[in-house]
Amino acid sequence: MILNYLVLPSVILAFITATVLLISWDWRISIFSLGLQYLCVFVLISLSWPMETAAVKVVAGWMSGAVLGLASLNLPQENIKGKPVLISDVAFRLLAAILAGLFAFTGGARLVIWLPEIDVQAAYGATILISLGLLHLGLTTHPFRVVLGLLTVLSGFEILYAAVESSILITGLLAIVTLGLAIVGAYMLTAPTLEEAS
Amino acid sequence: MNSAYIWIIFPSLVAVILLLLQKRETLVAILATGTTAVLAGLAAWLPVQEQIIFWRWVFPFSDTFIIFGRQIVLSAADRPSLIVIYLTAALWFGAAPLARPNRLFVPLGLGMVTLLTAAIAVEPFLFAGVLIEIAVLVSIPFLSPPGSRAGRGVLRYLSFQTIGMPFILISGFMFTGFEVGPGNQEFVAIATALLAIGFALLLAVFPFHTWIPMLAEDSHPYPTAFVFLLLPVAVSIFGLGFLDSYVWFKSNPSTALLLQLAGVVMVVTAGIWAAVERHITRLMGFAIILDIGFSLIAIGLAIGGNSEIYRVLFYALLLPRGLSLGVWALALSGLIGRIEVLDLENIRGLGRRYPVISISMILSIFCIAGLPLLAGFPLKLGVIEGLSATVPQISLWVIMGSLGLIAGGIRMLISMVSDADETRDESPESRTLRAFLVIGLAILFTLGILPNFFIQLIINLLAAFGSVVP
Repeated sequence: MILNYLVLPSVILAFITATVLLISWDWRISIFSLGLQYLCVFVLISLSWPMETAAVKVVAGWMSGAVLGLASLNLPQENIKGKPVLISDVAFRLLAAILAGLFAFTGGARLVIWLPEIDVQAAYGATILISLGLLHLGLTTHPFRVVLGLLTVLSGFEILYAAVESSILITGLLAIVTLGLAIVGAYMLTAPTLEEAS
Repeated sequence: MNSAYIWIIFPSLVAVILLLLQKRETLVAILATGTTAVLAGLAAWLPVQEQIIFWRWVFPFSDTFIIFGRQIVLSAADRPSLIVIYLTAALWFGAAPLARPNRLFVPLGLGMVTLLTAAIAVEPFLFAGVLIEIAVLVSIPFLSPPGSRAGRGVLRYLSFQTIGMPFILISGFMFTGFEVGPGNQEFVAIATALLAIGFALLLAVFPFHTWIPMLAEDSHPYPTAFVFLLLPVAVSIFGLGFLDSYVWFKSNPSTALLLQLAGVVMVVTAGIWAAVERHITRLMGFAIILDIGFSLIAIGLAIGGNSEIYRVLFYALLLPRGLSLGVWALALSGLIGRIEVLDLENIRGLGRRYPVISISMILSIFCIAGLPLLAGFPLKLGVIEGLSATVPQISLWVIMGSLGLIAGGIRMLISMVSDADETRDESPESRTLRAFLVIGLAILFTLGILPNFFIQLIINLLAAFGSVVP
């Protein structure tokens, strides 16, 4: 299948997009990276699931990106941009991402022993996304970034879980969680500008 | 007719309707209270049989609802949990107009209740992790209402609960693989570790407890206390179901010991932090961590030996916790707008200005700590006695933890009765608020003075639905 040729590039692209999410302070770049990341997730999940089912993940992911993007678009730019980019900050995050990537590389190999159902490249992709997502969560307290981190962790987990569970109900529920996270993220971004309800 | 229609689908529809009516806050509270009270009543009195006879009509009744090939089962054994959850919700929604939380609280709170009910009922039960996560997502708007910035506590709560879900799902899958037999010990150890981390994240077990005091500090106390009460209850009941499903895991002595140790660590750490805490709402957070710790010890004891007694204690502990938290949160809500920062410095002289609010807060703390004459005492004593019989070395630490919370309460009391630097001209407590608080305190005392009556009530309830043998 043609997608098999895309598996390794997807693993590499997943690392790049997760690193960009970690470093970028521009929400447009972040949303674009998130969209690409879900494309990688789709390719890696299609190793375990039929393409039409795996497509649920990319659709849910892109919709999440759209929800977050629309919320960011309607905000005053200072609310979303965060602090200015420092070279030292970028260097630190890049180094941390490389270390997390190395950890994921060793963890992925180990994971295949524990969960033999998963393809080794999918395991690498999953551990990369989980470790970089967790790193992202550890480095931020901004709602937009927290949601991006959580979506990244969840994407990694979904690659893993797809190898062991193919229930339609769980696919639907996880898609609801992905979309729900994005909606909650959009809500948290816009809440300060909304009229107080009580 | 189906049990899922009654306790999941119908209240979900009501929640949606209430969301549309959210501007009429009192009406929404009345409707939500009525709905949840009726559902709690139905859980108690609706006969558990295949047909429901209503006057001349006979309706077929099933406890199983099938969705996408999976089942949602609300059997007789789930009825006590339904009563606890819906009764708690009814009490909470009933007093909501007094506490004046954000107007999203009641409709979304009801939505959260139905999702947690579905989490308890879904089979295979490991899907519950996802439903709990969706319930968490539903709770965010009322914890971080429109017009306010999402605090660090809300973000951490969201993060920890979201990260906890994958651990539950993946360990659930691994446990399903061991169903025929434990097999490779290394895999069993990994699955157990993943499960422990998952539940530790969901139940705020040390070191994943930080979101509780942070959330308590950031958000309105009333909806926060609702989440503190309901979420651990649903997760604990889900955890009990998990343990009951894997007899080999449940019968392993290490499992009981692990649960008891986790509980003791929670009690001790919460006690230490409560003793030195200066912020009153954060103190509420530590109190709930301590109480969840006691529940974990009770679950550990329930699967370790005298299953029936400690299962009763686990359920019985929920009532004083709910009442104490309700009274405490309502009292704190009464101070919102009157005191800017709820710390020890700013509550000086509070006892004179707002005596009922002050007494309510102090007695709620003491009740959760397990002080004699209050509802928590006989149950906590039972848990400590059980722990002393199995692991006597660590039972003393549990007492120390409770003493820590009492110390926190005493510091608060001293601050409340000490003279304020300035005399403030403030409006008095409302009569309705006073009445609710006094009724709550009276129940706390009654349950503490008549423990046998209370425990017998719980035993009868559980026995009626076959959850324990009387």
